Amino acid sequence: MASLLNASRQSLWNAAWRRGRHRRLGTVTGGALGLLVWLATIPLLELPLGRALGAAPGHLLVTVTGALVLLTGFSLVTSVSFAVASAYFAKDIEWLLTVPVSPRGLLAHRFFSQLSLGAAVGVALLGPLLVAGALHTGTLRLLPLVALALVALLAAPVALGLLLVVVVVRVIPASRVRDGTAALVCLVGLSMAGIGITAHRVGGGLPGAGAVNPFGSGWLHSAWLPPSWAARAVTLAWRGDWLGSLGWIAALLALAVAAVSLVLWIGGPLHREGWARAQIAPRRRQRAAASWVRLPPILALLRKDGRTLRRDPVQLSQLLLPLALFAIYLLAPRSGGSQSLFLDFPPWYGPMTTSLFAALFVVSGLGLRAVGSEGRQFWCLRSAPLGLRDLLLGKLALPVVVAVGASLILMWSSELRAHVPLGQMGYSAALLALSVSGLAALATGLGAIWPRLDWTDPRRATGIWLSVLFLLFGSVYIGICMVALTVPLVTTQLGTLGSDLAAVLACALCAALAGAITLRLGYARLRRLEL
Amino acid sequence: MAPSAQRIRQVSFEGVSKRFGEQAAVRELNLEVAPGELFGLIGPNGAGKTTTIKMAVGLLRPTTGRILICGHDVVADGRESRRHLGYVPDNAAIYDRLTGSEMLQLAADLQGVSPERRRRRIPALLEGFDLTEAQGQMIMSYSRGMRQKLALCAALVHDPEVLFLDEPTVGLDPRGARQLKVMLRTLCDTGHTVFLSTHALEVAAALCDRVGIFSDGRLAACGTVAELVEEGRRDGPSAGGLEDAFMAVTGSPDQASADLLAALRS
Repeated sequence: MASLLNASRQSLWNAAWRRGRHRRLGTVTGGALGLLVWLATIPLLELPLGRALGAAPGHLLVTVTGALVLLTGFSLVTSVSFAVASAYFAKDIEWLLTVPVSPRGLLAHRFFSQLSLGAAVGVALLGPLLVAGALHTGTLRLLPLVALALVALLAAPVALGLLLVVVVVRVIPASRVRDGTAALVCLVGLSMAGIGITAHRVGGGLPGAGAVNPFGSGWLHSAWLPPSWAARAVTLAWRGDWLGSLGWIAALLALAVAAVSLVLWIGGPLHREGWARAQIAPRRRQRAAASWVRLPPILALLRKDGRTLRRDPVQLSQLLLPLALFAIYLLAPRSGGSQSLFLDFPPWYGPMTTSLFAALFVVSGLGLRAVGSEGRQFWCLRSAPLGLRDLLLGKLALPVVVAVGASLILMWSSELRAHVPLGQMGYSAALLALSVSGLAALATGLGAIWPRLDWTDPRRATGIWLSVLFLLFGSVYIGICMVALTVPLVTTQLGTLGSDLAAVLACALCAALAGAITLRLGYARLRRLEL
Repeated sequence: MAPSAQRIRQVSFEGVSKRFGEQAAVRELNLEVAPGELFGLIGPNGAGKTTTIKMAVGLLRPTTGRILICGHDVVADGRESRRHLGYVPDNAAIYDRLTGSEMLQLAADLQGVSPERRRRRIPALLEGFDLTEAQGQMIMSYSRGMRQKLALCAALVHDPEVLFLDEPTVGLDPRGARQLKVMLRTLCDTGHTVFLSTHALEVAAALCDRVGIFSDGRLAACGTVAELVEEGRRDGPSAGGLEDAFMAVTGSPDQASADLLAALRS
């Protein structure tokens, strides 16, 4: 297992440092930026944390436990997804099963890899909070204890996730589990956000524990909850009580050892059986025969991409999650925040703005990866007599259709609740369709400029930096669109034909400019692209 | 180019070179392949075979020189040249979440095949490659050989004049390989041109009208199998097969084999 962990460490190092000058530059820049943000967060957190530290001990405990509950839940959900990928679909798994590595050693390697990743995520997310607390209380020397508590806490959900996957795959094929995991992640995220938004709307704010605790504070006091053990270890360390802290950490470590032992004891033999079972192809489903109708290339690509999206639960859940969140935001009880912001504007203004942001997330998933999702299959299109313009338009078609359709449904649902007149619903729909089309073109163009074609998995088709860049560009685009269509409405009389037409023209101009520039750049990039 | 001239050579490489940075993958390639000819490219790993085929189908741009497919320059007139060719890469990645018949419909749509023609051609291709039963299943459930056959069907759906195949027999079972060989021979007999790369010398020897041996980016030898064997005999002691001719051109691995044996014994 030590050799495997060493190989993983070496692979990580090679990927970050030994893949050429550009990658080294990226690693240094990204690392420096990340560290800067991480360090900058510490003083920002010190002030609010100071207040919490000054409050009653029970209050502080609940706040820290709330944060650790969220981290534990996040680790549990992601560990399920990671376990399916690493224990059943990793490229090295077939080879490792043929060399004399014990099944338990193999599982242990997967467990420690995931735990390292979980600890890194924990340090990135909660590190500033914990360091700020230690700085404020002057207990920086006890920080290793706090870090140990965090790692010991994460071991249990990671082990549980792995065990769950190994046991389930013994019964259900691994491919189905992978698809099911996507739905699970979607469902968990949706439930937590839904509860948070609804609780906020109905209760007018969250109780004592603040934004980190959407569930209320009562049960977080409970001593049976492992995150509260870790929270006790942390808060005791902040008070300088290292012995008390160590006691809770010992309990956490005992739990971690028990969880890992259970996984290796039960999971070891089951893993190999499950893997062997996963090699048997699941029952093949016959689908309806394809029609003989001849479609133009753009529509053929739209149909192909639509089918691919519909049959890929992972992509589908990534698409539906933001839409569902925006639907909850728009339709939750006592919703009205967006309307109160836009009291002097037409009644469609608020729903349209929110729907545009929903479309931003839809096209961030579909448009940005439209070209990149071709991955290693791109040769199919590039060796066909398909012009690059048709190719780009074909790849643009699905994001436009889905984003316009989904955002229209969202906006109309909200407008119906607000009793917006039918005429204004139609008018706002035209504005929305224009703006969203521009947004989709922006995303597709950006995705064509930097496509990642090394993968067959569409999820890998865009990098995180491109996604962040697009969210930035897309937000600026939405801002410009809203300002451009608002200016004619406020400078002339609201509701006149002239002002309405001017707003439509302004919207169309923004969409055309954004789309034309990025698609042109994407076209130029694809012309130079060699496969 | 006049139609009569197009009939003379369907594939033409004129002084084609390809560099990747400092590394020359293909050097000064001059080669013509006539209609109805089955041309095989053989050579060691990394010799430039795949790069040559990728340039011919428009996936890579030649650094110098030009390539004509049925008289159309693959760079200047790429779209038109691609109407005349079909291509199957080595270990072809195809859309996993489409069914076999949907994949062929997509290929037919991209190639502009009429509904009547595809109604005749797609079932025939599926039948010919034993894929009729699997046509309604998603490609992700296909074996490697089935994927290879489907990629071949997709390349043939528009009845191209030139077919480029990169390692076409890899992944096929003996029955599939036989079907492919028969099909390729039939295609050439009906005036189509086939340009393939292969590591399987027996395939090249049994199937190809002419064979080119690639070594270090250069077309080191080219001719019929008989001509190459004769050339190999002239260059040194040889048992007289294509393998010996290949070794004579690309260098014998005897020393490397001896080193490997010594390492294994130690």
